[in-house]
Amino acid sequence: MPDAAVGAIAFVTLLTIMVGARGIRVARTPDDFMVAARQVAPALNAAAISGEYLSAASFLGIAGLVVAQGLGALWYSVGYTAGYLVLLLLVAAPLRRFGAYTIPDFAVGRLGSRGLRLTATALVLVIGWFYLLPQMKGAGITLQWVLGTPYWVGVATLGTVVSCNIAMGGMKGITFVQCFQYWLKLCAIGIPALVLLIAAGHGSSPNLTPDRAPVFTRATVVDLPQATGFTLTRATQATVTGLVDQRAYRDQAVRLCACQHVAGAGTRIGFAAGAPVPVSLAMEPSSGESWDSPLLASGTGGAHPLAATYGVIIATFFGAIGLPHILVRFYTNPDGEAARRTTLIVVLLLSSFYLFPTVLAVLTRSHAPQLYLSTDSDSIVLALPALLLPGLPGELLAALVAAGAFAAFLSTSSGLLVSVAGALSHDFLRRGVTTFRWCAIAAGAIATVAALLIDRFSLALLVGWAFAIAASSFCPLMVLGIWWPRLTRAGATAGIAIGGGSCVAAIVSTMLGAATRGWGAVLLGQPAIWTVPLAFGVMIAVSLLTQRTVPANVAQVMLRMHLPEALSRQAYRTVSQASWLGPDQRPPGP
Amino acid sequence: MSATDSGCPSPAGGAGGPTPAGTTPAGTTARAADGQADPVPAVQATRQRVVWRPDQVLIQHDIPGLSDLRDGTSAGRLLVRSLVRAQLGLSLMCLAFALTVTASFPVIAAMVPAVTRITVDGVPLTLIVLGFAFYPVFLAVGWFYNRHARQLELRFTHLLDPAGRRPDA
Repeated sequence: MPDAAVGAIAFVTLLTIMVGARGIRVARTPDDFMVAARQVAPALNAAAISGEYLSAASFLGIAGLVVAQGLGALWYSVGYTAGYLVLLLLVAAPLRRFGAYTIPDFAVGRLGSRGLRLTATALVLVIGWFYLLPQMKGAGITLQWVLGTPYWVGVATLGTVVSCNIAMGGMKGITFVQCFQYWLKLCAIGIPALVLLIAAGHGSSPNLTPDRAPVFTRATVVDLPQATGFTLTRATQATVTGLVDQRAYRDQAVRLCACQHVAGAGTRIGFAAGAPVPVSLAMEPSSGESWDSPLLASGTGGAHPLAATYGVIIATFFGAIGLPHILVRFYTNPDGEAARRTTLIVVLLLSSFYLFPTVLAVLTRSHAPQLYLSTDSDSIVLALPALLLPGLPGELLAALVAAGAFAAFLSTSSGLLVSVAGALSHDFLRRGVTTFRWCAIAAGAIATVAALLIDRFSLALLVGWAFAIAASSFCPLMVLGIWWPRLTRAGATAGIAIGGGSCVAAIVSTMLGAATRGWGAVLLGQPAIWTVPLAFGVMIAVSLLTQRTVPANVAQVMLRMHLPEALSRQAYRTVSQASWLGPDQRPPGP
Repeated sequence: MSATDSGCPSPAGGAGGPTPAGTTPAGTTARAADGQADPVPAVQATRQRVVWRPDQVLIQHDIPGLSDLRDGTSAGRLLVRSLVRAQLGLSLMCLAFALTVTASFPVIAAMVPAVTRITVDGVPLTLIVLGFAFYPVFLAVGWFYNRHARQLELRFTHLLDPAGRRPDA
């Protein structure tokens, strides 16, 4: 199996570098370098946006989390898609018409303040790095699974490839790369899902029946490559070769009680059809909710699942607006109308993609429940093809999945690194392409080191947290900035700092294990449920208190954001340059 | 859009003609002396210096509403505000619909647990709803929004720029 998978991963990586290298020759000016010169057709652009957006969480994380935690984890895929619908409804066209490269640029163009720019840039870096970590983790476990290398090898490989590629190619190359990556990812998850669905055959499985613990549908022998702790829900007979609960067996029938057990590395356990499925400690659902419940309790210790579910819904629905690496793409649309069309195509492309992680998760539950003994929920998608389809076809499908997963890490981390490096070079340091290259390398190195510390968190959970930070800082800034003329500098700065700051604080304290039970766990583990309303509230309240500082040119800026291009073109065509001062230099109207 | 309809100068109102009811008299003076950011009320404007600038007279004639937007006259501000409000109303309506459809499901499931035990041909209803059913809703809402937002903008464009009206639009 490793040969095919290694070949596929190497192929994807080389192809990415080559397509990126082609971009070097095309990129001439800094403008080309940053935003692909605004000449991208909607369908191509939509594929590029989707390619950049579908990350490790979508590819490996959601399916794994659904298997481990239950159907409630599907709220992540619903939310990641709905995020684009919300983006379409609230910001797509005005944002394109405004015409700035990054969120800090938007903040300054709309409200004009150096302090606000620094706050926004700091948040871009926090969200970008938070989002880079799960990509690195995904690469670590994928290479670990394919090659058996230590976790850090995969992390370092991805960090190096992406940093060097960005430093050489910029975004022109990346637009083509991202477009190619979307279709690669769709094939890499769609083809295995459909083939395995056909191979698994039709007929309902007892494991999908509501309120029922999973059982083996046929006699199954499970190999445990590493020492694994697992729990049984009821006592069962099993044939064991190896070490269970510190006792060595050789092909002996053992009665395992309904309690926790520990199996040694290399142990092989045979279960009869109908036996209960043992669940490894790493995969244990955190709540008492049954698998088919639509509520989600990930990251909150199982407390108050309804509140936790709404936390995920708010974070994912409103988080996409505030993701720094996604907004840059909207400036590559020729006009606002095209931006809306592009966004709708993105919703279509994402919807098609997210059908397949669901299929893979359900197949795992119904036909390969032995994967409940995995040591990490994120590796389930990688392991599934070989179990359902033995022999060469299974190996090839597994290679395809590994390649797609690697494509997911490459594309998302490229987009993120462009925006993080852009924020560093564009906003913190002096402008210029050379600085941008060095910032890309430095930012990649920092993310690589940080990723070594977070390997115990689920991919979907980590990405969900990045969305929560974005939703409680930049989402209010964009929405109020576009639709509410009375927003002020002080209001925006306070909202970003308090909303984003409290969200980051809550997440970091969850990572450090501050609260594991009760309301504390919910409010810290899924903070979006209170930090998003808080950010909106602070932004509105402080703005109302500082109405004297509403920017003088607000009417002109609103005009620029909302006037259809047909009219603004008319104005530019018929009015001579002398009498059109441009929105920024004009005195305010009466 | 009713505010826009009443507040917009009609095409006949160009070239210094009387503005329709609903706009301020300032609109008239602003047209007579274009480029002047702060229009003088009509009552005080007994003597006025008129500067002949051919390009601007042309604009006045062709697209009467656009100069109001550019100069931020009260008519222009009213026009922009009505456009922004109409767009925001459309967005919020679509958003409310999509949120109601999706976000009501956890509450329903928590209040009526029997819903989560329904299976359709061996497949749990929860799986069908969360895994597949919401995506067509999102696409339909997005399509509806795009269509109507485009129509709103076309209507606004025609309102301000009757000269640019094309037979096919």
